[in-house]
Amino acid sequence: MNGKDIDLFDKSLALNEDVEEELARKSKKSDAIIMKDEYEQVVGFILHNELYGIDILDVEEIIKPVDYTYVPNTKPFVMGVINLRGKVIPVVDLRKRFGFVAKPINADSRIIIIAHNEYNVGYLVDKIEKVYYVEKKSIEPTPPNIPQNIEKYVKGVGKMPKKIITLLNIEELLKEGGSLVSKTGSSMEVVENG
Amino acid sequence: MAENMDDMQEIIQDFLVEADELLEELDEDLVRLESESEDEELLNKIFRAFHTIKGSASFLGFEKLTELTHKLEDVLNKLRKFELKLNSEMMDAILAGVDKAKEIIELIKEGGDPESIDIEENVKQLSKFLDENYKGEEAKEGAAEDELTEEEMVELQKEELLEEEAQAEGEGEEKKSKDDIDAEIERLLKQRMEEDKEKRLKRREKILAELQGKESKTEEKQEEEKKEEKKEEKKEAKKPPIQKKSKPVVEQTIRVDVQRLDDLMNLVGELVLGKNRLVSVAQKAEEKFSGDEVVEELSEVANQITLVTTDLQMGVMKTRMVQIGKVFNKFPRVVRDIARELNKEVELIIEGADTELDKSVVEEINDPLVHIVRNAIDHGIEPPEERVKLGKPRKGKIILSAYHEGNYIIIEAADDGRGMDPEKLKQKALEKGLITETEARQMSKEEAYALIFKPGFSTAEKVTNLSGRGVGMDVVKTNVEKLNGIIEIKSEIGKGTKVILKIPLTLAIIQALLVKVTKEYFAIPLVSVVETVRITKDDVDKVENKDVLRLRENIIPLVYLGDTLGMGKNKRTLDGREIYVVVVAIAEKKIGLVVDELIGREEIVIKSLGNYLTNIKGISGATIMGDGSVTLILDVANVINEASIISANIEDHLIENYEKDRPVALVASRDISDKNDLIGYLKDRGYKVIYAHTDKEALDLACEHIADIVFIDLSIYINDGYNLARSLRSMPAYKTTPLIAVSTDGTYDKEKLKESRFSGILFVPLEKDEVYQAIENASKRNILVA
Repeated sequence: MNGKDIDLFDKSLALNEDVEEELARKSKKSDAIIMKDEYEQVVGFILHNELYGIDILDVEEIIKPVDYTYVPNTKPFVMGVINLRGKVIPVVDLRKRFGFVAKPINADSRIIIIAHNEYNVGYLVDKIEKVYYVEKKSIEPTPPNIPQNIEKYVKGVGKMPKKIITLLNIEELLKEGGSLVSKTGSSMEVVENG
Repeated sequence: MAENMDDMQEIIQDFLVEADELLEELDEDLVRLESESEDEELLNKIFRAFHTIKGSASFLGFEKLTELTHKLEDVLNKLRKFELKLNSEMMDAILAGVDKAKEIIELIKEGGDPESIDIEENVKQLSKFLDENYKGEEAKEGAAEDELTEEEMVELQKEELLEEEAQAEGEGEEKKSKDDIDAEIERLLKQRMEEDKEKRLKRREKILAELQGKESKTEEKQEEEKKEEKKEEKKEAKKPPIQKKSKPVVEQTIRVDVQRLDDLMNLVGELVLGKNRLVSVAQKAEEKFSGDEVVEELSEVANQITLVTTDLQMGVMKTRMVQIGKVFNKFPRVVRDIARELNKEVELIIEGADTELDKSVVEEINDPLVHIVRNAIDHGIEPPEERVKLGKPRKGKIILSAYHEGNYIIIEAADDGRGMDPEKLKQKALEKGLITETEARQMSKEEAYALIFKPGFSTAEKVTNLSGRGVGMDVVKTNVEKLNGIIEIKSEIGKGTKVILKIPLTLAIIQALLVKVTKEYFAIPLVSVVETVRITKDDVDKVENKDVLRLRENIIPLVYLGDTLGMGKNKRTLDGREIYVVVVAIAEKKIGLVVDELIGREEIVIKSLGNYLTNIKGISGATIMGDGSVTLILDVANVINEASIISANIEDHLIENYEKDRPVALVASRDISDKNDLIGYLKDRGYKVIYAHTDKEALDLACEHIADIVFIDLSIYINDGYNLARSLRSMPAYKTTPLIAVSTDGTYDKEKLKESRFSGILFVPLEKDEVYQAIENASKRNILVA
């Protein structure tokens, strides 16, 4: 990987071969600038050997895994909270969230910090690829072969010349929250009455 | 245009704030007026308040409000001129008018149409008194009374003068004829009356001067001063009148948006975190390079920053402080209304109204207090006839008081009513099935009082012969819990009840006790901590198969903190010879939380966990420590509730009760090929092998399985192996367990190895013989140490 040290957010560098190739094929406009409106810029990452993408506007930053604090009474996929420059931010293990086999943190693991509306959440992923320009036209809203458990969190599949990228619906992921809904409510009653 | 609109909006805002203040004071003043209906100054003040509101309202075009306040003003005008005499019917109408005015103001605030409110009834009521033919007690009586008092005063002065004369002249000149003396008295009296008249005139002038442009609060003070003056004048009539100059006291205040103060408080919070960090860095530097000049300077700077930060924090906190009087002042009215409703006679005494506390706390404290006072009148204070029969004064007494104690404010509500009978309370709770027979028998007096906070108890239908308080006491509990406060009840049958609330002064920055349980640290708000004790496993008693601790005369339930947070399963972290208990109390409940370790006291800044993690059971927020790590803050109220449904016992968490059939080895390593070899070698040697991928996992497993030997990959994620070793060493079960480092790249830090007391080091590739050799060396060394 020669792009290891490339700033992911530098548009000129992030222009990947796929897009360039594609542009070249549409030879008429080979030297034209990419029209913003026609492309969606997404941060591509690997999870369980698949390529996923999150809208770049929702990504605040990408960090290496840091020490986190476990939070009791949260859903199993919530790893804990971290301190990001004075802000307390929850971190979710996206593998666990999607029900994939757990994989321990390794040198490639990264946390994508999402800032969307009022939410600030980090998602642990296997590896960051790069920023992709996905043509809006080529995004299929109803993905054909997405596992059921993650279907809800997918807003479409982007087809690029060499790859396909599953675009995540971050809103849906954030909305459900990570708190464990109090389940003891009913059992408490029983105990008290007994 | 737009600017004009903004200006207008601003004027309306100002008006609303002013009207709010005036109306609030009015409540208080009106209730006072009921007992002091002849107080001219008070009447004037109330009149002026109505007048002011009327003026502004008509300027701003609020017609209904203008009409209403105009009528009120008219009635007050008659009252202050003593053309009318105040009676309770009139008072009710005035109070109803004030309430209506408040209603209109509220509506304006909410952006509603202020003209939509119906004031017909109020205006009609008030107009009745303005009618010439109104048959109340007529004005003259008031005037006559006034004259009477003046005559009395003259009489009084006469007597005093007589005495004075007698004293002065009794010594020598007895020869003076009685006539002479009389004449002298006449002369002196005339002089005195002249002086008095002058004084009265001056006073009137002063009032007039005040009428124009004044700050209502200063005025109040001055009025009080004046009242004192008056008394003095009466008492010390023989002294020549002292010229009192009214010094114009101008209070220099500005109104500040609360949001700005909140922002400021947040920034100070950040600063406190930064300061904590600086101090911890300075400490570390001192440990490492003690004696170094630069380090000493650093410590000095850290100390100075600490001082300044503390001052700044206090300063910002103070700007957010308001007097509790803001809440207390509503109570004369509340008490009056409730007492009338229940046909009881109650006198309210307020003490410490100038005690200050954070604005956000003030807002939360109002409701609980109303409930407490309502209950005191409803269930505590007996009807007047009964009180007389009991030999108590006819009028019941409620004392609301507030004072500071350290970082807390103590608010007390005491009554001199029936008091509560613990036996009756228990009886009722038993009937309701809230407690069992055994529980009832073991219950202390305080615990019995606490029963009134049980939701089931309070919603029970009113049993009038029971002196227990029921209505809405769970509201009190919830609100006080929200503020991290403590409720205490003292009661004596026949003498009365006292409810004591202990509440932290501020909510943003708090003192906390740091504790450790399993691998996690938690901050317990110090306000909830009653005490900490160290016990052994033999001190743990059992009641109905639940752990309790006999602490002095109290029996306190004991629970493992990890269990209350749902993370205690299979964790064995307690050393039976040294068990630490943090006794916590919230509202009326008290329990002992068993923790692995007490870390210390720290000032922490409360941070929210954000929108993603809301309402987490047992956790109220988080804070960032000096070393940058996140520590969670316990929601003590929730933990206490949770504790009641826990079935696990303390002994389940004792290290010594861990059962194993063969030695256990813990291998903490990244997923590298050598780890499989290592696991193989260890299994061959008869070990049960536990494997962890990361340091977090390793620490969790170390709490569940007490390993006899630990292999640590020095480059393990997330923090390195050195840190993992250090964390293990701080756990009671791993103080002396052999730890063997595994270096995958041939490098290691000798200092750090020593610091974490590693017993040996291995390098990859791992050879069977080397591993066995290391195990043997380690256990030998262990024996030597032991």
